[in-house]
Amino acid sequence: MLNILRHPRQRTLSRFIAGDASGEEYAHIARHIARCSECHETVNVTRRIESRFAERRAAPAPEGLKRRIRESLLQMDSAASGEQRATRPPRPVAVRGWPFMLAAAAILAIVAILLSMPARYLTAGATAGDLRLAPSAPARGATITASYTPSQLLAGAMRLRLRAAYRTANDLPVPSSVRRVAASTLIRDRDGAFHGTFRLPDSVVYATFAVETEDGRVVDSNARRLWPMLVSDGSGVPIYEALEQQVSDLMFRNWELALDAAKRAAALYPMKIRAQAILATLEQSILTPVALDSALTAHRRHIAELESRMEKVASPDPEEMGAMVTFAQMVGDTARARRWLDRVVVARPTGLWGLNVAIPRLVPDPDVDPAAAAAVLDSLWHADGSAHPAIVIGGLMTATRSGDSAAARSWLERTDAVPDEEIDRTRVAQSMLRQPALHESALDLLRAQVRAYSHPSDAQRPLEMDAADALRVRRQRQRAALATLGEALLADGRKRAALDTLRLAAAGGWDTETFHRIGNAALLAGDATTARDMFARVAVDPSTPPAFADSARARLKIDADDWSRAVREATSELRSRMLQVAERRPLPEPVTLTRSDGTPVSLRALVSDRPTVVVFWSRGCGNALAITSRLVRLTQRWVAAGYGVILVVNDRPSSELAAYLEQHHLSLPLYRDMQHEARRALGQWGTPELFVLDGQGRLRYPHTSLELAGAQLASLR
Amino acid sequence: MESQESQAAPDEARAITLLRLGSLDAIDLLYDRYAAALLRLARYMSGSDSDAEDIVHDVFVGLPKSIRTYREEGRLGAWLSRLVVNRAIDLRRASARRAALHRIAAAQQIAAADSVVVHDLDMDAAIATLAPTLRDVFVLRAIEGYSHADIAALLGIRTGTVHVRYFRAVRALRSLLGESEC
Repeated sequence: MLNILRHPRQRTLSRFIAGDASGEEYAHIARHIARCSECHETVNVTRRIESRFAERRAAPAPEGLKRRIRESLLQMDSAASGEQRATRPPRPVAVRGWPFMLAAAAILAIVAILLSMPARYLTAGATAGDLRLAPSAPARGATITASYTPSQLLAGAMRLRLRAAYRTANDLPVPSSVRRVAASTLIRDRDGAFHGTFRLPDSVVYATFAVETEDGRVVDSNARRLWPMLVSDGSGVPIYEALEQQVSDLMFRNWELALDAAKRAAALYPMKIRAQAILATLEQSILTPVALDSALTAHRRHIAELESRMEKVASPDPEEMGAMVTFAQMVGDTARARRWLDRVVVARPTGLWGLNVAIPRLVPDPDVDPAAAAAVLDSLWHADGSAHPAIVIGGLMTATRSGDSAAARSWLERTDAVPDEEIDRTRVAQSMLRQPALHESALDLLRAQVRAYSHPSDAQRPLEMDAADALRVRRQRQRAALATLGEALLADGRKRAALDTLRLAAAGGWDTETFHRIGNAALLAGDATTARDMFARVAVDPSTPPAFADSARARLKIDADDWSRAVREATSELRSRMLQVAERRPLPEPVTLTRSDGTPVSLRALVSDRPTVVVFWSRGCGNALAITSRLVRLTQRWVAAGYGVILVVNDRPSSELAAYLEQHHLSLPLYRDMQHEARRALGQWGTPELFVLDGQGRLRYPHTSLELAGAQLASLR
Repeated sequence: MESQESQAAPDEARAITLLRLGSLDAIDLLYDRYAAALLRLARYMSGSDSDAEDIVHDVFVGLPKSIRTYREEGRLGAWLSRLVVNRAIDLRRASARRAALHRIAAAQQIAAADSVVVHDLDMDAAIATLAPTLRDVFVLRAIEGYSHADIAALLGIRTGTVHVRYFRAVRALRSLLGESEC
């Protein structure tokens, strides 16, 4: 006889909830539940949780993954058929697995890292001078004369430094092996203009320039556009390699201009397959579906013509064949892609385009053979001869996944050749921490990274950035490295070392995410005071969900007074730390924007005495699209907290744009900057760009980031 | 997934036949139909977006071979889910430390929950804080809708164990998701 007063066992209650209980058992439990509030609540809560999860819909699967699967299958398929045909299949490099995908993933990782880098620059349109370079379209190795009419900021100097970022024909489409150098010293003449000469290195095909004081504290970056120079063929027409490198450069700074440059390259060199492949790749990323359809139709016509031309060449360039594979893949022509893939492999390529497509053809087996994958990356490293972060990260990932600590250490040594700005070693370490065999190596890397960030290094500073901003970025990265190190130490059970490290990470700057990580780690380590202070800092950032405060208090188990004190201190800390780097730059009047209905409105009127963030966003920019979801979420919170948000979108109004905005719940009023008044006043160039103004309409934080804008707004209240 | 399958039976049968004949054209159809749900499952099982993509990638890339073991029971979706679960478990065995780190990260995410009205992201993070043994059972039961007996067969454990683990998972989720304690 079952006792109705006795609580059922867990498995019995679970069977009841699942409907698996037998008739008698079911009736018995039902009777118990009717009397027992505890079990009644348990059943109800379980059902509520079940229904909450059951109602959830899966997010659409990404098209990128589908493409990746198709490519993998294509490689396997062609590899298999190749092996059937040949008695001894050609295997220049005996590899199996996924190095290409690693390389691709590495490039994507770098893109993500770069996109997530906070962008703060001091220069703006009003502070740009005029740099003239003669000849403007030089031949390789030409001697260049530079004449600079200074901006107000640089007018007082006697000597200035002309800095250059040089690209050679072989540079990857990441800002990796770009050499940044002091190209020349510019000397002031009696009229106040500056002059200097320098010789362009023979290998350089494309360069960008900025002018700065000799200590790097004030930079004129032409309002972040920089001054570009393309090497020409002697008749003034840029050589193809110059245009390709220009696209690579702009891809990280302004997608619309990158697309324009790719179109120009494809138009000037219509029979250059690489040009078509690059254009098609960019179009895939940013064109609207209608525009993309139209572009693809044109590409499909063109690809047949290109192929027929290439068929007539006895030994086509493997790089062009590799580009043909990519081009065919981009236009969805899998049969053609497969055909050329076979030929690329036979040609044994050594260049980037050929290797990019040939490697997966050589690695048909998805089972991982780390040694072989490492061999491929090794050969890439030696073939290329420069420190491309994509190769290094690919090597590290290979070693990490296979848990090969010796290989990881070898690749880590190679990362030394990659500048700090081009590789986020903290992320590399985070990835390595997942592998027990690489744990100590990861800790060593983090420690080395923390040390490295302590030493100023100006050589690889991006041209647009002044020395102070570069230092801030280094310190921010140092804090992130410290936080990661602290978490790893905590996971190891080394509490004291972990807490010391985490406190160090919280000591400077303002980085809400790092504070949050530190708070959580401190709480896990039993340091409630540090956890409280960190959570309070998170809570005072208007980018944080309002309910965070309640949840933090509940986790900390502290009373309202204690929490209020911590919040007051955090608010004061926020203001103090943020305002240290704030500017106070009045904007010219008036700056007029246009509402969706065509009526004008002044920026000052829109600011309306509230700290306000001005966001430049574009449907045609991959970087802007990448932040859309976060932008929506954060701007909603800022508006709810009483701050202003002005969303400037210069795209032509269209149903497609409206549908995109609706789909992403981007419901803020849109403004257009028809006369580029806001662009000039703020120094905006690409998208997305954010500028924080105070209630008086003064520019306080130019070129800021989504991560920082909330705290910056709060500092101005 | 069941209703999807009944509507899509003829297409699906054709896709399976094509796959067995070595054609890759069927992959798109199966991807469009099942990848979203499989990714979700993989994400819960692995606790990582990138791992989830790798898992689904591996399952689809392996389909031309593995489809040979599929017996037409009209439950292709469930069969694919099983492949995902197996692959996820294989991967998990490779790295225990990673799981520990992941749980720390998930706990951090929970702490950042938007509001008392818990959003999808927070629910994901809540699941990620569960120990893998509890998470597997909870995901397969509450989200994928498997019966306890099926879960037992899938994970190679006893049905009673499934019940207990499920119960423990729910209890752990209650506080994280703001459900009141008894």
